[in-house]
Amino acid sequence: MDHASAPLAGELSESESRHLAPEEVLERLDSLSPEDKRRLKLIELRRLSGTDFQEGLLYQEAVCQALLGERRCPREVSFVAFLAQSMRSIASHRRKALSRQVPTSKLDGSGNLVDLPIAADQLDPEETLIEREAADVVAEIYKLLEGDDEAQLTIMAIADGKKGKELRDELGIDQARFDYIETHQTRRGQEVSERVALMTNKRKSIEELRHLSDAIDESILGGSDAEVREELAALGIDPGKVAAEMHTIAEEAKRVAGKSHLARAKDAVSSFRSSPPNASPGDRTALRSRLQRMRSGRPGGNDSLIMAARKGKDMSASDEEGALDDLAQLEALESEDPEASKE
Amino acid sequence: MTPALTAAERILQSLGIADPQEIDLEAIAWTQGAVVNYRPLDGCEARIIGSSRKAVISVNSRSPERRRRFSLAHELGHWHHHRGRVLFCGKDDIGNFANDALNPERHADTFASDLILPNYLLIPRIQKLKTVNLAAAREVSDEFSTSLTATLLKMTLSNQFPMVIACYNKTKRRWFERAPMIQPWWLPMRALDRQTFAADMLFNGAAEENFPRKMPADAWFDFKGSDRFEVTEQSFLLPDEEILTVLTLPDAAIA
Repeated sequence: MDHASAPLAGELSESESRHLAPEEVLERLDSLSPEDKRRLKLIELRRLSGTDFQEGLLYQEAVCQALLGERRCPREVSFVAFLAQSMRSIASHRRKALSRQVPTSKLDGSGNLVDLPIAADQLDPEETLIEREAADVVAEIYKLLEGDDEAQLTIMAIADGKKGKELRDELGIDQARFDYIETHQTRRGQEVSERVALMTNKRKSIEELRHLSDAIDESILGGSDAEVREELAALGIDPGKVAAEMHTIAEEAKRVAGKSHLARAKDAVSSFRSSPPNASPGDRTALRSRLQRMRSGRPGGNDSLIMAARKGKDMSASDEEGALDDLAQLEALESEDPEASKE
Repeated sequence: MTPALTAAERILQSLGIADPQEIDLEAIAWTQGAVVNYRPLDGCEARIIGSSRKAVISVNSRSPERRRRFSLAHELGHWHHHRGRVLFCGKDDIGNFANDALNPERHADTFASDLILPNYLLIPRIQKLKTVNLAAAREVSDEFSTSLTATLLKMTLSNQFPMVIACYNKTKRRWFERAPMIQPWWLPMRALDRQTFAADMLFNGAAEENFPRKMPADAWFDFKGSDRFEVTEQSFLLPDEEILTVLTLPDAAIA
């Protein structure tokens, strides 16, 4: 039986307490400031490239996953940084998934859909994936350097694997000019120039580009609201409207996550009904004794139990047997719960 | 101003529930760490046995569906409010709204009412009603799969109508609830006045009225000057020779 997709909730265990609980995620989400929302908007726009997410849906997905506990925010991490990191990761996964989708048909000259031949000696899929990722990262940085044609050209040449003289020839510049580009203070200043310098020296340029991309996120998170507003405006977005839009997206994410949680719970209940946990008949005497202690209000030992009955009066013999069955079922549920066993 | 959400309503909203039909109590119980069994119970309507993280709720399979539903929601109220305690709720605690606010049974009942009849879904629905009558209340109770009593109680407390509901047996008033908007001196009589339509139903076996009937207010209220007003009444019989009456009061009763 697999109830893991919708685990029974309950109080937080010690290990769970290292991460924000779902209700705390909600609280942090509702406490995001307009400035935070603008930063997240800018980061989302950066991360959309190479994915098929519509604007707003990447942020929605990140919020959904946080609410559903699919990505958990460590307590020591800023919630805004956590959402930014989630968007990065979700976008990256999405790019990978898309890159694995190989078209198996195309339109011929007459507009008819025809199957493509499947060749056995296609490119190595991993290599294809790396190339695709590299293109996405380059596209992100290219976008960042909007307005600086020379810097954009340099990035493209580096991404093509050119370096040294070959690179200078490609760009049609001398070493002095190249040095200037390397150290040129763009909007992201030092980080860009340092990374560009590293890229020219290392073959692992894709990795470097990725680091650069993360550094840009960090600079957005740490930047002033005036800078963020300016960048949003440069992208044609009214910064004054962003907070309300992000709030609407978050509300939709809550609704979607909630419905998903409920649907999983329904499935889990069905699964539970069809194959309940093995409640061994166990030691009826021990169960009876535990039940008696509970009824007397003295659970004893490490028991932290609740027992309540609506319209309660004396238990019949059949009621008592049923209560023992419930207690055995409770013990079975506890034994299936790894968190409970740590208590 | 939108009232703050209660604990039960927050649970519903966190699950994206936007329609009464979506209130699946077993699934909701699962999200809270509780599993539900239905079995014949002789000594109670429902019971919960739980530890700190998990709980097993048994509901009397012999009870009518809507009572089972309320009982399950009531036990979830205990699970939410009273972990670590041993509680037995006597029959007299049910519907005994004179109980003090600290009574755990009242907490559980309030939680149950909010879970199966959340204000954020109920109020927009009943705001479409022009007046309160049993036919309309039955429609609402069908939509929410709740008992007529629980529905009327929540409608009263929602403060949308100048109404009082009162439950009587043949000798005395068992309990009553009035909309918060009502002046405090509008207290229903301690025993049924024989001239009321309710008394005719309870004592003489008269049929339920199809619509609210006018009645001098002094048949229902004994404060000085009550004879100057008129109210409407409509009642339905409950088990155990009890009757529940819905009284709609004049504007003068509104605070």
